[in-house]
Amino acid sequence: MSSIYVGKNLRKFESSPQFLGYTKVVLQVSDEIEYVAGTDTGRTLTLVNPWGTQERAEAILDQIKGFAYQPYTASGAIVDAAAELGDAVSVNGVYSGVYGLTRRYGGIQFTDLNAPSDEEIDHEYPYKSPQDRRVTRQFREVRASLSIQADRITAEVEERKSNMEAVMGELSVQAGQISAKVSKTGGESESFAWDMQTDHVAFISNNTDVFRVDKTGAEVKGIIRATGGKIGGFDITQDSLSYNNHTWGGTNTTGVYIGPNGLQLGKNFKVDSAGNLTAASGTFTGYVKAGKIQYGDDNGYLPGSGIASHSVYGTQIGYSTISTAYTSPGVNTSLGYANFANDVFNWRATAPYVCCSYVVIGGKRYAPGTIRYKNANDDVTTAKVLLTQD
Amino acid sequence: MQKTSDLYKSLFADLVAGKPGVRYETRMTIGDAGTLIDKKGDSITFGGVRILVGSSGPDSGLDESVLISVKTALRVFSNDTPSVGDCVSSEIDVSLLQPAGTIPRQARLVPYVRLTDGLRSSEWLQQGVYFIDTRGTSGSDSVKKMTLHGYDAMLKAEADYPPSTLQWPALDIDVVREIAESMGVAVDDRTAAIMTRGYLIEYPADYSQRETLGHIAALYAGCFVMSDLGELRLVQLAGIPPETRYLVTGDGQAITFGGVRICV
Repeated sequence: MSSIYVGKNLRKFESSPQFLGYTKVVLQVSDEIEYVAGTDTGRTLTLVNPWGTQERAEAILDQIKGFAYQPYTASGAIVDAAAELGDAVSVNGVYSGVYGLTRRYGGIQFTDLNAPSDEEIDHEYPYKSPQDRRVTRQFREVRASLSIQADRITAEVEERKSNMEAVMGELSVQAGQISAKVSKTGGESESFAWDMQTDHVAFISNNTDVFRVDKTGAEVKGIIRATGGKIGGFDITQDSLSYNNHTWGGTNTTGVYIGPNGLQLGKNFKVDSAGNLTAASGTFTGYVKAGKIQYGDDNGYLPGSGIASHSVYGTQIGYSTISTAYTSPGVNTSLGYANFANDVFNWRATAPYVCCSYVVIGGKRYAPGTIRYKNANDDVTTAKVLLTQD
Repeated sequence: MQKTSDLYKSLFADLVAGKPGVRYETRMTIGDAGTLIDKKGDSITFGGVRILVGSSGPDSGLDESVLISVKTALRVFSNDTPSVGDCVSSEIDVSLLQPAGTIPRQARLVPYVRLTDGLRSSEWLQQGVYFIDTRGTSGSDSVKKMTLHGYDAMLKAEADYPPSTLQWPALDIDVVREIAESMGVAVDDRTAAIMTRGYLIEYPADYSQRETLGHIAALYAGCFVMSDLGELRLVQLAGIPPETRYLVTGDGQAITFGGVRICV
């Protein structure tokens, strides 16, 4: 800014006492929302601005803080034609600014200049700017805008709920993209949006894709909750999952049922919720561990034809597991012979004969042999006797 | 304040001192280009001389032999109290001898002044750019007078925001430039020098260009006006420099002692 000097080169001059310096700014955004900066020790500047924030109110105060407006009116002054609005002026001992300028062109070019004021209000009552008088106009709490540009259309609606909280909805349409977003600022900030482009569409929560669909399929980050549906041939009901309309206890040859009753595949395999398995047959490639095994119609009967040779073995068979009541006649006969032999050796029975190569008596072995001797007739004869072998 | 030459400053000092023969000379250009013409397309003349217009400069404009009176009224505030956020349009009132031809509708009016002592003449100083709003005629058949009333380009901002190429929210200075372009005017260099806070402005769907300018000006504790060169200029409420208390001459030139200004 420049300064001009008028001095006393004028016909008429009037001035008023200088205003107090500005110490406060009130920035009104709506009927309910305003931002205040500064203190009440001096003059207050009140203004209306739809883009007001606390920060901007502080910045406006910085620009006028301490500035003391000096009203005056100078008529018929000789003023440099190069002077402009906003220049500083020293006129009749008063220093102020050129806020009004009326030029009457002629040889001398007498000029009126002023810094206007409404003296009655300024001297007796607190200052209120013309903008403050416009506050009585009803401000909308909801602000909407529609922008149509060469490459996009944008619509916005913002509802300012308080100084700190606002909710905004945005819709943007471009050649290759359509997007919409609802966001809340202040407090717990959050947003939700959807974005459609040429190759995908996505739902976005707080700037993170939560559901995305493209040509390869759909991807969900989070939980899917559904009371019904059909996916890949599977029917989802409120409490079960089924294929081919299969039910618990159903007779479909092909089908699946998964539900609170259990799991059933077709009509020949199921496991109920108690863990009971029912199947037409089974092949176990690993170990089978069971508390009890019951087979077929005659529970407890396991035919030997179903057991491979040498497949049942172990270090011991449990007490009273095998008795002659359940062994084959051949085994029983052999056991009978064993019992007789035990009786013979314990003098409880007499064997008709014993066939053996030798006998052991008192720890010595005796085997049959033949001896030659002379009998009473002095004839040489033989006799069969047991001869010691040791 | 517009920059002036040393000759102008010297002649102004003589004017303030009351030196005889020193005076302002006034010219007015009307229209945008070429010469004034009548309905048949013939050039309008004054004493046989064709009247050149706007682009030809003040040397060929209407002079005081045609101009009866010219008055301009400029102000920063919309009311008689200091405020911010205003965009006041300045006005011009011209009384002249009615030319024979037709002055175009909404013709451009540009007043110029210069100082002269009869021997030397300073440069011309432009005193605003205005556009005719109303006109009237008076006087007798022999001497008809015409009165013109006009406003500067600020009224052109009384329109919806134009189609925009900006990314919104947009920088405040970019918004001002876009509005100025829509008005057909340039932005004064001093405006860009003030608007350095880089405020982001939301798309002003509900506001006219003038209201948008006003809201932006308020953020800088100022008002928008049209400068003497017809450019959009931001004037801040507290923008005047601090008082210096320099000892000055009668025309405001600082008195120096050995090249140093003297404070009192």
